[in-house]
Amino acid sequence: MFREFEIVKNISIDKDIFVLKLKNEPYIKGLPGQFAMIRINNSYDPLLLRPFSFYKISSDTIEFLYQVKGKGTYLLSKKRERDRLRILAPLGTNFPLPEKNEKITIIGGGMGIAPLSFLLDLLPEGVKIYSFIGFYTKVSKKLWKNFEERSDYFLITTEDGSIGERGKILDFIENLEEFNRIYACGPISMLKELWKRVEDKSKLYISLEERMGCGIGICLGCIFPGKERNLHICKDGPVVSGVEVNFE
Amino acid sequence: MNSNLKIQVGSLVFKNPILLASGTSGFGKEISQFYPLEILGGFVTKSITLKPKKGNPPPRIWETYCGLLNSIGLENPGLEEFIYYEMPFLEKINTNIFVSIAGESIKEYQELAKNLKNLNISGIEINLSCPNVDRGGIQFGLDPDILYELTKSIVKISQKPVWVKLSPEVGKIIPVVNLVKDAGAEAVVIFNTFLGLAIDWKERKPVFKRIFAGLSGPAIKPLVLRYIWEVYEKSSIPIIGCGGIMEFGDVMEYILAGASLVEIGTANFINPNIGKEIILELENYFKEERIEDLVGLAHKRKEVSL
Repeated sequence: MFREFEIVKNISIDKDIFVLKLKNEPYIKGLPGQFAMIRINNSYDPLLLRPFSFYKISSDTIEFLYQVKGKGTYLLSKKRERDRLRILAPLGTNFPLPEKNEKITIIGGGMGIAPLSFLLDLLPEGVKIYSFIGFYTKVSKKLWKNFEERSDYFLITTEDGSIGERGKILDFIENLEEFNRIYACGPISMLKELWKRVEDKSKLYISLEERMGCGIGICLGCIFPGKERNLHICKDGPVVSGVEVNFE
Repeated sequence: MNSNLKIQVGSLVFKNPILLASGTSGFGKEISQFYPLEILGGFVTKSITLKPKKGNPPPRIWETYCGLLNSIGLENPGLEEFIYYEMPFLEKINTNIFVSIAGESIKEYQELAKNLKNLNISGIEINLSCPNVDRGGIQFGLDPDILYELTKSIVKISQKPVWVKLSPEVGKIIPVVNLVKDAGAEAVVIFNTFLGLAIDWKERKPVFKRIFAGLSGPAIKPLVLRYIWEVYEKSSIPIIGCGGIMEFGDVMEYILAGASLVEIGTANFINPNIGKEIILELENYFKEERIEDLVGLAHKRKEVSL
């Protein structure tokens, strides 16, 4: 489960946003929502592995979408073709796939689009897809092309109005009850508001994020308040059902 | 299995000196997906308390240079659930299992020891060093009277080998380890985490809600080793070394400084295979010599040439 993979490419597709592509060998069968812990350097600084959810997986390659935010992602962005990375994967829970003919909505905020894009790749034929994705400001079309192409209805917003509608994405979704399933990933404030708005919480699947230590449930670092008990995001999540969490 | 790695501490024999430290591998199930825990010299559970404990709110961890600050706050399922859900798995593992106990009162520690008495475990590690809770933990470890009485009563009640895990906050270490020894403990575990602080300068406030947190990882290794050295020189109690062990060479440093056994902690988070990898290296290295003969050896090799 903890193995080395070779980098095929690691390129910037927008300001501070990168796609890391690895040879899928040894083979990982990861699902949308699941993640990998990547050891950035063979040194002790940064010390911890870093979690990244799968962006795309084929029989030949594995892709991650990431934003340079701190030391770890900065060092990762300097890795080159043919460098090798030690990776612990696949980890965590996944988005359950809908049945044929279901009507679903996919709601993504910022870099939260990564696992949702992978979900889109695997949806069965005949599913009616409504995609809503929001960013702070203009981003490259490479980031949202997949959503536009695969969805029956597609809406993009930016908070400054530089592309799509101006405002926050949730303000543009009127009726949530008409969907059989709602899939979401993004900032915690967005997930919280969404959770409050969805009446039947069993239809809602959200992917959570918190500072993560180990990725396998031993450090107890990444907790999130659950309905009845603490959820450890790396093990009980990152994808949880709306009925499991408590945003109150 | 390489018998050169075998080592006795107090009344127990360990197949090798590698244990996993409390609070860094839960109750063993997760790591057992990477390698069979029976290859370890021993396993120390996450600390259990009498009642279930939810632990502290997030954030609970914060990375530092070569280190990790944590403020988990003893989250655990409590004694009852531990016995019911975790013990059946643990008691099947053919190695030394130590249960770490923590409490907010002396009575709570004693109650825990009473309930563990009849379980199939090797011993008890008393956690007197958790820095992330309001009551008990470190406060008891810093009070010589409580430290002595508590240890003595746990030894008596549990009828099992008892180790005491200390905090670096104890300061003058020798009087403390001597107390622990007089109270009947078979070994001291040196150390739990160091107290540390991080400020989120962008938010201009402390990272952790409890302000101080426990620092672990390779950053603390030299600080702990210095105490291992001192305790080995001035006291006869067996030493379990714990702090910043990341690789084989670190284990060797601890043993040469005077530790009979070591506990691997934070390294499990970075590499869940680390216990197994280090044991393989020990097996290769100790083909001719016995590890026992190397404990404290560096003390004989001080080069005094001022």
